[in-house]
Amino acid sequence: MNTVNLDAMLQTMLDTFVTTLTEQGAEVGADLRSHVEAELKAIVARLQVISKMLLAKQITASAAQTLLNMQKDTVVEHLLTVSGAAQVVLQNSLNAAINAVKDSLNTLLGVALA
Amino acid sequence: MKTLLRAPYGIFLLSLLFLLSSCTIELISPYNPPLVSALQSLQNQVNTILITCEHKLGTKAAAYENFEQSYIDTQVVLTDLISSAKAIPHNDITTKQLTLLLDAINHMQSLHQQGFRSKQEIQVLKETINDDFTAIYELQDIKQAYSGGHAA
Repeated sequence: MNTVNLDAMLQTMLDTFVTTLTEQGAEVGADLRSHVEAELKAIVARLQVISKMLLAKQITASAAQTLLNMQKDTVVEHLLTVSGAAQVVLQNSLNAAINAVKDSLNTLLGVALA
Repeated sequence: MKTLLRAPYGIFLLSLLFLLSSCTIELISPYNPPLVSALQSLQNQVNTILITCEHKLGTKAAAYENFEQSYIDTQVVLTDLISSAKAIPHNDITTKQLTLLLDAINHMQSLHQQGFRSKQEIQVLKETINDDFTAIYELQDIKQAYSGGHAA
């Protein structure tokens, strides 16, 4: 009877998941950090400009309120990007772990699983 | 390295692994090039409205009435993009982003209807809406770079 080391297989799966999650998470995180930081600074600067325009009566209170709501929505847009990026990384890590098991099973069976 | 597969739980676990190895997990929709291309054209339309108003501020050429059709066209395209986005599985994030972008364009329309008062106001509006576009592109770029470039 052919034998299987399930513990080793599960360990490989877990190791691959953690490695991919850590490495790709760090890479995507670094990419996003500089971008999001710059965007948030720009939003803060715009909030200051809106306040100044309101105080100088260059815009109405209603227009200021609309512009403020737009800044809030822009923050949400960027948070959605971060959330999406996290999902991409998690998806890649899970699939890498599955592929690691697939490789182990292929070796065990001597045939390639689709 | 290999140990005997004896216990029933081992058979169950192995079956589970076989089953698992035959699937690919999708948590989020792949990169969508047609969406990016449509958004670039939409962004151009929005910037055309804002930059024209910036240059013609204080004249009749900047009046809302001259741009009403451009707003309608923009809203129609964006509504279509939202419908298409909703039809793609695991595409909730992009759908939400597009909905927020439509809200931003509706806000811009409302401000334009009230009449732009200064170049600074238009500048803030322009930066805000372009930032919204950037957030959507950024997620698409990450999908393209880190999902093996599979397109929708």
